[in-house]
Amino acid sequence: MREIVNFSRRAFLKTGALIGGGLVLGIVGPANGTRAYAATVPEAPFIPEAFVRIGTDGAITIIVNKSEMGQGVYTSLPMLVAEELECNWSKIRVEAAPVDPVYNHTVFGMQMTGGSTSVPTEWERMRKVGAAAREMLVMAAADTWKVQKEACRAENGVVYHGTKKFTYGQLATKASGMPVPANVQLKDPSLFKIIGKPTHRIDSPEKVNGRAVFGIDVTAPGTMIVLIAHCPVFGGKAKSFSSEKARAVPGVKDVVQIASGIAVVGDNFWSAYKGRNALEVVWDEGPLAGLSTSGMRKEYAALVQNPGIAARKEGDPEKALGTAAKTLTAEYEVPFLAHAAMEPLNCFVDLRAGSCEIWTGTQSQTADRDAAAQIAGLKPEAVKLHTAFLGGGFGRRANPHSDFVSQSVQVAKAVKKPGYCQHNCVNFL
Amino acid sequence: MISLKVNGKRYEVDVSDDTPLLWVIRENLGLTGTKYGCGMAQCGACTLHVDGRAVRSCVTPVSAATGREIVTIEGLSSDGSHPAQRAWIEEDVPQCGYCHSGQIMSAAALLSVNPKPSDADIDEAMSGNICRCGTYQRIRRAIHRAAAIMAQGGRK
Ligand code: FES
Ligand code: FES
Repeated sequence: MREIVNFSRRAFLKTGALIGGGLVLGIVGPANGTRAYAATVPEAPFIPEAFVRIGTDGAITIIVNKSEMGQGVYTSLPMLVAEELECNWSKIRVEAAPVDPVYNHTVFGMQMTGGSTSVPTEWERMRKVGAAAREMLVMAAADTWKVQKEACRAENGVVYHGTKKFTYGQLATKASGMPVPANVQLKDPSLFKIIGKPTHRIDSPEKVNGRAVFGIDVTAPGTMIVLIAHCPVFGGKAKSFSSEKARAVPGVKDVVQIASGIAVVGDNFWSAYKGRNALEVVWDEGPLAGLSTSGMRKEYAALVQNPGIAARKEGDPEKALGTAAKTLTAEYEVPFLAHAAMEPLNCFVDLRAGSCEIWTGTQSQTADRDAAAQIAGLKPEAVKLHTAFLGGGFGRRANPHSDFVSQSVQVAKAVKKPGYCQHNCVNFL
Repeated sequence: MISLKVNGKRYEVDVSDDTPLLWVIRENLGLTGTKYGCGMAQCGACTLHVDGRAVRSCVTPVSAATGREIVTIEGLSSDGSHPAQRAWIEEDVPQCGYCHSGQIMSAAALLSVNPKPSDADIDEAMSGNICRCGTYQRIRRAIHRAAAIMAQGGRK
């Protein structure tokens, strides 16, 4: 049984300010528990363990713990909350969740997006968040009017009792002081008004006017642009290299070696690009040097001759085939698909003594943050990772090696100057 | 110094002549709506308008763009009201959205010379714009819808 915790009161007291003011609500899973939460949050300068924030202006912010990579999760998860919250859909805003255990995948136990799991695994939790918030708003209204909460009704962002009414914005501050209901009644699906109904995507307007911020768009004054010459074979590394010509390119600031290649650091993309092209590298292609598509095809074709694993067995196919009037044989092949996204892999790093801040489009926040922390020699909590829009994910941005994030932090560390680094991958899928 | 006119505003930038227009727009002018996908005229993510024509800014040296009218996705309309932008929202075209600045700029250039394109016209004009999420069917529908909005007096 999950427990719903009201985060807003304590956080209010500690931080004094909450953008927009109002009600903040989250649900803590059994693995984290209230104790873990209590140990970390009071000191936090913001309120991470929250999924919904209702401002005194009536704006409803849903903090989404999944990465928006085109699958529509910035719309679908808010739909789950809004259904139970009985709010006005047009008041919904979305914010990407920071990294925190409360935002972990409810099944996989780490913060990540993948496997078409977002709606099924958040189906109950997000609806409970919405229902609990609605209950607290109703309680706040009932308490003000001195009436039974059962006699009040919430609809479209307003709580009514007879002819009296309060908007959610008017109730937000008081609602944040209400106890979180232990048990919330979820709607019967026959009553759904939003779930299952065609709903326009929340993120379309900013994706048609150029304002949507993808990882590659993140910048700050003085950002250095990094391009890495990677070994043409995964797992290979540079045996030797000469950076003389690259360093001679105007705008190139530095050339550093990292585990997987040679990084050129420039004032701008074009300098870094020309610098990278001027690098002279001798590669050690590593253990996968001999791997090829045709070789793998041969290997698979040979494996097909072995008996397979039975996924299901019904009847007696051998016998049936032996007596069939006609048998057909066909071979099917599908090619390898590159998990290449439209937006080249990239990562923005601000590495300083004792802190590291990262902006990137990732599907794998916990692993990426932890990998960054390890390279930077910091505690995971000292690394702040912000999730931008992903220009496609396709699993490439959920990477057990956290490769593009790790490389960026390695470079930031190697240049030994505090500041901003935007690392863009070119010719690296 | 190179002087540029982008979205009706004049800019002076200090970059080397061979810098692709894309990087000047993104890095020097901070207009990040124009996207980088391939850098070799293969994907269309970087499409913008130069004198009204759809151009791949990743392979256009900045020196070739001086004295011309450059329009990026940010300048297509001040408020997202271009018929293509409206149609894109109504048809829920974008998925990840990364390709759509370029898609919309290509579509807008098409509609400006062909206000009622056929499917074949659309396929031809849009063939250089790749969408990894595969939104092609909705792009086509949205272009027809944009044409209808224009025919009903919606702004061009
Ligand atoms: S970035 Fe210009 S066509 Fe791909
Ligand atoms: S919407 Fe993702 S590449 Fe087109």
